[in-house]
Amino acid sequence: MIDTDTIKKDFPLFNNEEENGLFYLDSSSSSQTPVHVLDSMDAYYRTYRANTRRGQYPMSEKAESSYEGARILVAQFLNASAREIIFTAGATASANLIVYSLENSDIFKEGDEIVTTIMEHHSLFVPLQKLAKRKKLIIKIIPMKEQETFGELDYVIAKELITPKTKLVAFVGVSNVTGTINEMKELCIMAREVGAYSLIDATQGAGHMPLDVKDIGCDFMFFAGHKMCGPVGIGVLYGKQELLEKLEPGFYGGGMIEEVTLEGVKFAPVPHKFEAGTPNIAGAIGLGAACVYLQKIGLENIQKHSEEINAYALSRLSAISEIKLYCHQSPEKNIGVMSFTVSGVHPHDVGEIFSRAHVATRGGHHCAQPLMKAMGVSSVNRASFYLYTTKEDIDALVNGLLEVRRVFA
Amino acid sequence: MAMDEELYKQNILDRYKNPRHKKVPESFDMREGGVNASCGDSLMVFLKFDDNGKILEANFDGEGCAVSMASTDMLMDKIIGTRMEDFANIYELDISTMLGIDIGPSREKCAYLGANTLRRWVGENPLGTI
Repeated sequence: MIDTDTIKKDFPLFNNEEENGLFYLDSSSSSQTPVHVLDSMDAYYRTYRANTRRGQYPMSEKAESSYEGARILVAQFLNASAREIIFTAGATASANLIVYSLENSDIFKEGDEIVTTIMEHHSLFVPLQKLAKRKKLIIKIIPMKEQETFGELDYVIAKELITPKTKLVAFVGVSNVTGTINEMKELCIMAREVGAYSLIDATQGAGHMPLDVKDIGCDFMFFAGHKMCGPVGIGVLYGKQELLEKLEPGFYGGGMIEEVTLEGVKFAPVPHKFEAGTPNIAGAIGLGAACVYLQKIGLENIQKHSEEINAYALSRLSAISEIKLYCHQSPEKNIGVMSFTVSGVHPHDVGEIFSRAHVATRGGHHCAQPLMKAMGVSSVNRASFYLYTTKEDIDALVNGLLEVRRVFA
Repeated sequence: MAMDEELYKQNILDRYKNPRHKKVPESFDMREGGVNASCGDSLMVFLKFDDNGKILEANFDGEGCAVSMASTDMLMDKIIGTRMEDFANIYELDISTMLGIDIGPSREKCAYLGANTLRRWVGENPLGTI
């Protein structure tokens, strides 16, 4: 089980005098970074600062083996093989890379369909939208269920939307607004049955729950390092090896080739085919260290901890009559993200008052404007939890809400 | 913990709850919309001019946070009797003086929404950091 007192000591920010008494509830936006990750990146910069790609001196060899070692750690984290792990600059970079790569590989023809959901983050939705416009494709949207529990996708409608005309089923594994853990395996099965590719945005789930790409059965998956205790500026794109080998890359340059002549190019084998340019070496090393750190604590334990905090938060929030929740209210089906509005008070004003009470949250559309529209709001406040979140953090949130009520009465 | 209510000084909360200029007028000479897409503040400014080109009536309607609505309401007071060319002379300091508080980066867009709507209408660049 998680001992948050011990865990918080791993994070320098919580022990930083200036941020003493900070109640950090914005992990969905970016997580805190433990000293293990910082040390691993510092070691690179201080003791073996060299480029990768087989330079012929020990420091460069160490950089190469550490970078490729990080790739293996990420592969193990996902139950994939190293050749299936591509390092990118982040989740958005991964999304753009795979969408463009699929397009570049002539996967789509006019009239083909892409199925996605109403709860997508702009990082995937916008590339898909632009792709559809360029290739004259039709985008179909899986809605949320109208009745029953809020935050569930309608899988009956999903089954109807995914047809032999569907070439790609691309969806968010976990919503950054409702916190819903979607039925990833089920949607991938639906895709497979019609011969469509499946692509999962796992950015909110990676590092918060166990992820096994073989069990989930997706063709492609991506996520960011900075939302799972890793550094900013690094992300992962996973793809089944046999698929990556067939795809044309979307980004070209050095390091991804085997041979370049004046007339043409022969690409390097996967995954390097997709890694043009000098990578974020330190970032990859840091992400590898984050995988080790989280696996040592146990992803199931982290998820269980989020469920406990969810239950506590829901019980306290439901006692405040002005709160309207825009998140999944079943503790086991929510990754640890609670979006809400306070009646009569604009989310930006709520966030300001939280900030004065040293409660860090985020208010806005959360890069999910289609979802906001579907929910009938322009913006919501969001509190999000992770392995270092405590009941005291939730109590501070509630006290902040009582203050909002007092100021705006 | 007692909250520092600086940002929500009496005048901001008062203007937010009891605006003086928040309505869609029956007639107007100019209408311009402004939106902060990132936080959902949106408004429409309505102006009426006299025969000399000075602003006779200034109103707005919309939905948004206390800072954006209060700031715009106060701005409507300020511009009555002036000309539209004068919009170019409304700067950040004027807004923060008007509101009575320092405006941090996260509230800039809210505080300047009304002013930037007017500035855009006359072809001026918006206030605030990029």
